[in-house]
Amino acid sequence: MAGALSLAWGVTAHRPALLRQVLRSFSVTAVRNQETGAAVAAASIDSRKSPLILDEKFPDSNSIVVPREAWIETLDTSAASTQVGLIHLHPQVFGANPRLDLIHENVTWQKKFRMVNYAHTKVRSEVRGGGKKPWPQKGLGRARHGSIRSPLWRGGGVTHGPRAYTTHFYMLPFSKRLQGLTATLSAKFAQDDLKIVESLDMPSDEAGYLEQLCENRRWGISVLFVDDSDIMPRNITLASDTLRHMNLMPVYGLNVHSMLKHETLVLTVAAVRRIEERILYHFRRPDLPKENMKRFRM
Amino acid sequence: MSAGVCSLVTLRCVSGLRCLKAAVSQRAVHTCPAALGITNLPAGRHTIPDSRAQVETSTAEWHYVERLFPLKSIPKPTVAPGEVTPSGWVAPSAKPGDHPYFVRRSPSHMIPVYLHHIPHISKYRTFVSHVEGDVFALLEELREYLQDRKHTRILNMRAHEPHQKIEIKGQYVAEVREFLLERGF
Amino acid sequence: MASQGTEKALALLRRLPRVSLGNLKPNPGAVKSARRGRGIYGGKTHGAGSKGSGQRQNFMRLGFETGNTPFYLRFPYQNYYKGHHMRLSYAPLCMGKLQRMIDTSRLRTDVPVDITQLSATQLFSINPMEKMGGIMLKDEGIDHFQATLNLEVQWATEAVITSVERNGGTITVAYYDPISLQAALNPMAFFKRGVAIPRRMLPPQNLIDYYSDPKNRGYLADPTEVARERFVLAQKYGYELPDIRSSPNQEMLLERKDPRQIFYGLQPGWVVNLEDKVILKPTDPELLEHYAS
Repeated sequence: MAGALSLAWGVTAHRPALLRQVLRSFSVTAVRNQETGAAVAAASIDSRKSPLILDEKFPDSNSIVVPREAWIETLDTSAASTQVGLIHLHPQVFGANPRLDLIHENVTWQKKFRMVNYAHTKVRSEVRGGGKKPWPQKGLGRARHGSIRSPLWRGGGVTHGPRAYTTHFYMLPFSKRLQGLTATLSAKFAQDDLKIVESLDMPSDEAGYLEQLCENRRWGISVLFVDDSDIMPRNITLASDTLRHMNLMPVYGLNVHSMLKHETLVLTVAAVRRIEERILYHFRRPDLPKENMKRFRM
Repeated sequence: MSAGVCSLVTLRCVSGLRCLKAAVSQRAVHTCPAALGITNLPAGRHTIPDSRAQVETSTAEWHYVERLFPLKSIPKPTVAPGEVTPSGWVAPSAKPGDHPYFVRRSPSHMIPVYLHHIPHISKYRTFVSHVEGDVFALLEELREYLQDRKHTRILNMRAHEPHQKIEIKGQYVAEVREFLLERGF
Repeated sequence: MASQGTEKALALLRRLPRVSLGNLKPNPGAVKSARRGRGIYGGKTHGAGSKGSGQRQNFMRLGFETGNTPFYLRFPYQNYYKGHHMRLSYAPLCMGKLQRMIDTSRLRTDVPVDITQLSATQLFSINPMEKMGGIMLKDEGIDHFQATLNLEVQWATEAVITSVERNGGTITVAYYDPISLQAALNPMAFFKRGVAIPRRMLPPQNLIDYYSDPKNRGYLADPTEVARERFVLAQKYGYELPDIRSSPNQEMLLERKDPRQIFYGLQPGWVVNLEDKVILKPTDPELLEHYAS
C-alpha cells in the first residue's frame, strides 16, 4: 500500500511528512475505505491535477485532541480517483466529546419546541346534560349523586385529562445547542458517516447517477448534502429533486435532527470551513455567558 | 316595546353603515377645506429649518470610533507558560502527556474550578470541569492531596466520566486550584 | 494516550451501531416521570397543607426567624436606608481583578479605560434602568495593582486613588446620567440607532459635591486643585509621585473628557455612521449652541 501511495503521490514526493500523515490517516481513520478498495483508487489519483491538501495546524485550538484528518472526495465518477485531497478538521468542532445525552436533549428539544398537543377532553361542566340531580339525596338506599356527568359516572367528564391546545415550547440553553452540534458532528465523523467533498458539482443531472454514486461509495440510503451557499449547483438539485432520501441543505440550516435523520452527512470543503468559523466564533465570544442567561423573546 | 327596540337597533345599524360609507368616500382628509384650514394655523406650520439638515462629514475622528469596537473573541494572553503575573494569574505550562489527565482552561483562561451553592439548604459542591484523559486518576490524586491538606477522613467525591467533571461535596475551590496550579494546568 | 477521554469515546463510537434518532436516550436517572401520587401522602395536597409558602416553596421566607421577631422588624428606624430609592448602585470591581483583566489581555491598556472599555469585556452587567450608576472600584487587591492606567470610573475610594497614582496612572470619577450611560455601555447599539450623541447631563444635587471634590478626583473639580491633591495624597501615604510629563504614554494618561462628552474624541451632537464609516457634524449655529459645553 505504501508503494502504491508513493507512486500515486508522486507530485508531492518531496514532502515526506505529508506522506506520513496520509499513511496514518489511511490506517487509522479510513478503515472502511480500505476495505472497499480505496487503495486502488488512491493509486490512480489524477496526476494531472495537483491534490488539494488543506493541512492546517489550528494553533488557536483549545482542545488537546489532535486535528482530525479526512479525505476530500469528488462527486465526479469519471475522475481518475474518488479522493482528490486531504483536509484537517478542527478538533474543537469535529473531535469534541461525543455527549450522547446532549445529542438526545437537542433532538428532544427540536421535536418538542414546535409541538402543539391537540388532545382534548371535556370536564364535567362541559359534557352535555347532567344538570338535574339524578335521584333524591336520601330515602332510596342508593349512593348519593348530584350529576350524571360526574367523573365517577360512565360517560361523565374526565378529571386531569389533556386539554387543547397544550404547547410544549421551550428553549434549550444556547451552549447546549452549540455543544449538541459539535457532539453530533464528532460522532458522525467518528463513525465514518461524515464525508467531505470538494464541491457539489456533478457531471449528470440524473437521479440514477446520484443513487448509483451513493451506493458505490456505501453512503447508505439517506444522504444529506450540505453546502456553504443556499444556491446549489443545477445538476445535484435536479438529481435529488425526486429522491426524498437525498436532501440538500445550506450551512445555516444545519441541525442535529437532520444530521441524525440521514445515514451519511456530506459536507463541502467550504461548508466545513464555514461551520468551523461559526461554531468557534460562538465558543470564543466574550458574551457567551450573557447569551445563555438571555430569556427567549418572540 | 320589543318592536320599538328592534327598530331602534336597525336604525342605528343603518346610520352606522352610512357613516362608514361616507368615511370611505372621503378618505383623503387633507384635501377637505377644514383640514386645509388647520394646516394654515401657526401651530401646524412648525417646520425644521433647512440649516439643521446641513452637516459636514468627517473621517478624521474615525479612530476614536474604532477604539469603541468591542472584541469579537476573548483574546489570548501574551504571557509565557508558567510565568506568574502580578495578579497571581499563571499561564498554563502543562503539556498533554505530562499526566494521565489534562485539565484545560476555560474560554476566559481561568482554572475551571467552580463552587455551586444552594443557599437555603446550605449545600456546597465544588466542580472541576474540562478534565481530559483519565478522570479517575485525577480523582485519586486529588483525594490524597485534600486529605493531607484538610485532615478530613471523609471526602465525598465522584467523577463524571462522560461529562469530564469531578464533583466534591464541600468547599474546596482554593485547595483544588492550588493542586492544579502545582501541576501546571 | 494523552487525551484518553475524548479519543477513547470517539474510538468506542467507531465500533458501535450508528448514532441515529432511533437509539438515542437520556442519561440513566436524568428523566423523572411526573407521576401524581394518590391515597396516603398523596391525594389532595401531598402533605403540603393549603395556600402560601407551605404549599409553594421549600424554604422559609427571607428574614423569617421561626418565631422571633425578625431582624428587619426589630428596629423601627434605620437611618442609613434614608432615601435608598433615590440612590444609585454601582457594579463593584476589585483592583486585583482589574489587574487580572490586564494580565490576561482582556482589557486594552493603550487607550484610556472608561466605562465603555470595561463593559466591552462583557464581565459586568450594568442596567441604568435599575438605578445603576456604573462601576465602582473596590480596594481589594490594591497591593497587586501595578498597571499604569488612565482610569475613569463612577466611584472610587482614597485607597484606590492612591494605588492608581502611585503607579504613575491617573484616575477620574465621572457621573453619567442613565441615557448617557446606556450609550456608553453599548456604543455600537447606540450608533446603529442613527441619532446624535447626547449631551451628558450634570450630576444630581446629592452627587454634585462628590464629583466637584478634587480629593475624589471629581471630573468637575479644578485641574490645578486636583494636581495639588495628588501631591497631598502622595505626602500622606509617603510615596513619590511619578512624573506624568516624562512618561512615554503621557498623551494617553492626560486624555480627558469634557463634562458634557460621553466618548473620547467624539462631541455631543455628532452622528456616527457605521455603514459609511463617517462622522456627521452639525453646522447650524443653533444646534452648535445647544450642544456646546
